[in-house]
Amino acid sequence: MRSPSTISATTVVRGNIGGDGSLEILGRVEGNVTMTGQVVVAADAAVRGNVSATEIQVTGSIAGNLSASDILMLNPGARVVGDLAGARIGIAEGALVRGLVRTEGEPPLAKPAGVSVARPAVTAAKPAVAPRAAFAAPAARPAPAALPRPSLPKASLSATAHERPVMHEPPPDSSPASEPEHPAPAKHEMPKHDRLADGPPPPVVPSIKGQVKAKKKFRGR
Amino acid sequence: MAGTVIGEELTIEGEITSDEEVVIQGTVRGSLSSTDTIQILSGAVVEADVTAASLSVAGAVTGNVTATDRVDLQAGGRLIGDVRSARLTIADGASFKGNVDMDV
Repeated sequence: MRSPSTISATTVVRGNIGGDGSLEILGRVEGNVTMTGQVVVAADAAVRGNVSATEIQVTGSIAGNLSASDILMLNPGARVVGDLAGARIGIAEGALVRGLVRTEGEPPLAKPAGVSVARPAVTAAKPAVAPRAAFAAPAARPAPAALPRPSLPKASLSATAHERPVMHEPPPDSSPASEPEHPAPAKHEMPKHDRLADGPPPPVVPSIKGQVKAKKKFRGR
Repeated sequence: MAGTVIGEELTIEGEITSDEEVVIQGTVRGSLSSTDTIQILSGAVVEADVTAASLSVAGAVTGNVTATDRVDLQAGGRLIGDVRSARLTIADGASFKGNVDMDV
C-alpha cells in the first residue's frame, strides 16, 4: 500500500508470493500469489500458479486458478487457463478463458461509492431474469389444462381444435368450417377427449367414431 | 522507477532472478539474484543467498552474498554470511558476521 510491489519485466520469481497491499506483475511468476489487495498482471506478464486477491486485473497470461474476493477483471489480451471465481467477474472482448467461471460470494460492503453503485446492478440483474422464467412457465401450462376440463361440447372442442390443429384437422378433411359441422360425434368423443387431455391423444382416435363401433357390433352379431 | 519492488507487506518464498534493479522492502526467503543492482532497504528481511552486480544492505540479510562490483553495508544494516565481492564498505552502525573474500 505504502509501496506498491512490482515484479518487473525481466524478473522471474519461482516460489510463492504472499502479503498485504497491491502487486504489479510485469515479469514471470511461477508459484502461487496470495494478496489482500490488488494484483495486476500486465500485458506481457506470465503467471503459472494460482492467484487470489481482493481485486485481480489481468492483461497478461495466467495458467492457474484465479480467485478474487471483490472483482476479477480480464482485460483485452488476457489469456487465462484455469478457473475464475469472484464476487464480480468481468471478461472484456479480446480476453481468452479456458476454465470454469463462477461468481460467488458478496463483494465487500465497506467500499467507496464506486463499488456500492455497481453492486445493485449485479444483484438487480438476477431477479430480473428469474421472474421472466416464472411468468413464462405458468402462462404456458394452465391455459390448455384449464380449457378441456369444463368439457362443454362445442366450446371445448373448438378450443382444443385451435390449440392442436394438427391432430384435429386431418380426420374431417376440411377447412375451419369443419368444427361446427359434426356436433353429434362430438358428444361421443368428449369423454375420450377428457381422458386423453393429459397426454397427447393418438391421432387415430377421432377417426374411430360411432360408425366404426356400430360396424363392430354388426359383425359381432 | 525501480524495476522490481518487493514491498513492505510482501513475502516471497522461492527464487527471484532479474536483469533489472531489485528493491527489497519486504521478506524474501530462498535465493535472490540480479545482473543489476539489489537494494535491501531498512526493514527488509532476506534469508537467501544474494547475487548481484552491486548490492546495498540497510535491512537484515542472512545468507551468502556475491557481487561482481560492490557491496555496501549501510548503517542499521545487518549481514550474517560470507561476502564475496571486489569491493566492500561497512558503514558505522552496521552489524556483520561472516567471511570476506575480495579476490574476485
